[in-house]
Amino acid sequence: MSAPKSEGPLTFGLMAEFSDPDVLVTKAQQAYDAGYRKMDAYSPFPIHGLAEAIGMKRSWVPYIVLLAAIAGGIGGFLLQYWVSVIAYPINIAGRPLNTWPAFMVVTFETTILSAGVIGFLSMMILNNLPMPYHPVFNVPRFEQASNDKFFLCIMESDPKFDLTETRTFLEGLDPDGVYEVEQDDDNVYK
Amino acid sequence: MNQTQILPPSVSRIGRNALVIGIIALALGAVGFFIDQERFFQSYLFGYMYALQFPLGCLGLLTIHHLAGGRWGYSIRRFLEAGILTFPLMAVLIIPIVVGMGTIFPWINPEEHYALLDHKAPYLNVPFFIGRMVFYFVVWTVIGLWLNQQSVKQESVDVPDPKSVARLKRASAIGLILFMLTATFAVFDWMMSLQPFWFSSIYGVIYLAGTAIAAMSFSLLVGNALKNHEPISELLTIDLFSDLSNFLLAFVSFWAYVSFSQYLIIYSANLPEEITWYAIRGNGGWGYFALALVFFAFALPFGILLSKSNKRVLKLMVSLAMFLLFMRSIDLFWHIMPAFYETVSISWLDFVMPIGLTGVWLWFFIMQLNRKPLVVRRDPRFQEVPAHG
Repeated sequence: MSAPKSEGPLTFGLMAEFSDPDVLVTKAQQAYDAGYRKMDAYSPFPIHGLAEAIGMKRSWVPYIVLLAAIAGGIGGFLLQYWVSVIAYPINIAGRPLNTWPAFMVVTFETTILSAGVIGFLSMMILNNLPMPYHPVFNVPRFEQASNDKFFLCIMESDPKFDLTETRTFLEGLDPDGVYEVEQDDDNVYK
Repeated sequence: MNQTQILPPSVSRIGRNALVIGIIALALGAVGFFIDQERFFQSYLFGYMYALQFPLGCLGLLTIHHLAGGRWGYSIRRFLEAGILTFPLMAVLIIPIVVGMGTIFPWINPEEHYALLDHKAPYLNVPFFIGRMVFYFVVWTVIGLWLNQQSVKQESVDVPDPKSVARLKRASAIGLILFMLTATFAVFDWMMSLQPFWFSSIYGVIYLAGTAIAAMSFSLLVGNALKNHEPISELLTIDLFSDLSNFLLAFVSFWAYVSFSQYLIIYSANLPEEITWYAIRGNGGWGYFALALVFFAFALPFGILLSKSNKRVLKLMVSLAMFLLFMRSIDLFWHIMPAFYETVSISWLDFVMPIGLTGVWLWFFIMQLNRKPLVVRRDPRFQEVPAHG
């Protein structure tokens, strides 16, 4: 995976800068139609249709959250069932030991707790967060991604990637600039 | 714009058919009056409370939309505005309940003397009951006319006027407060007092949560009927229907939440004067209605509405909206009928009454909808709705 050190700084990919959110969506779509798959887009705010334009797959997080919620709900109910019916049964005003309506509040809470905590953790893990270093920050202009500029980055790991050809392609998209994203050879990102 | 061009012929036809079906159903219901007078009034109350959900829900949603904004509201604003113009019709349709109140409400001619009813007499007496009824309809009609008048005024200028938003907001703030109070007491009067010993302060909110489900489902269906009709078709996108479905998810959850909290609190306290309400509704076959509500008015719609992709399938959402409107009738039936019958009792009158009253209401609604252009053009906030907002 790691290249010989003699080649100098490795390329993470090529980045194009745009100044309009709708243009970014169009250009990202063009890159996708041209056959590029391993790319990412950066914007100061969420843009409708951008994720679809770069061909992002649906995240697993909703399914994980759903499973976590169901598990949390069942777990919370069984916990109360075990406490009130098996471990320490006491007669409260003649009600049945399995007083399920009263269990619903805690069942609801454990459902939310489990879904919330596991949802947060799975989002972090699936996004490789926390990530203190990422090569895109080697481009000085990239600071503007959190201000008023919009970036499209095609990664070197894309099978279609070729330093010269891809640069020509990005320049053909009429961007404000095309930058090579360098990365240290001991921090190879896919 | 020509009056007749506002609605497509297909929708005008629905209005005419609704009137014909409604009149036939009510005529059949009138026959029921001579067969079983008691049941006639009971079923009429059930049908009336079913039809009343739509204007009340429209009033709640419209005032919330004016106060909170949001893209969803501009697209369905005309539907809601037409809905709140139907209160005069509902005021006329309530007359049979006034006529039959002696048979419907047990606190009017109690079989025995109850000290508790004497204690409640300053509120539960016939003149005050009728006076309140008149007051509710005056308030609802005035709010309905006021909001519509402000909306017409907003459209009457050439350049959008920012002050028109402030005027609509003021009318809505006053309207929303008055609506919540009057509607809560109306439900206390017309539904809760069917069992005059029983009381629950959240009871009005449970019904109102149901009216929000009904009015939102109804708006979704009206939107679906108009989705190919220019110029409003440009607003009736799948994004809008997805937003409305999100509201359905919220209202279904809220309805379940308030319904269940009332049950949980009464179940936990287990006091004789409170628990009897549920004891009746859990036995004699009524328990099946309660279970049906848990699974089909909450769990099933909740599960379907949870998925984002489901909410973007219009056909599924239209079916779900119709199903929710059906489940609203089960909920109201379960609320009203056990007050009269300890074991499940279903009469043909329970079908013709809601169909008849809702049919006539739908015809009247479509007439109101035909009064002004469907698209909001001069609301300054609507111009500013950002593409990525």
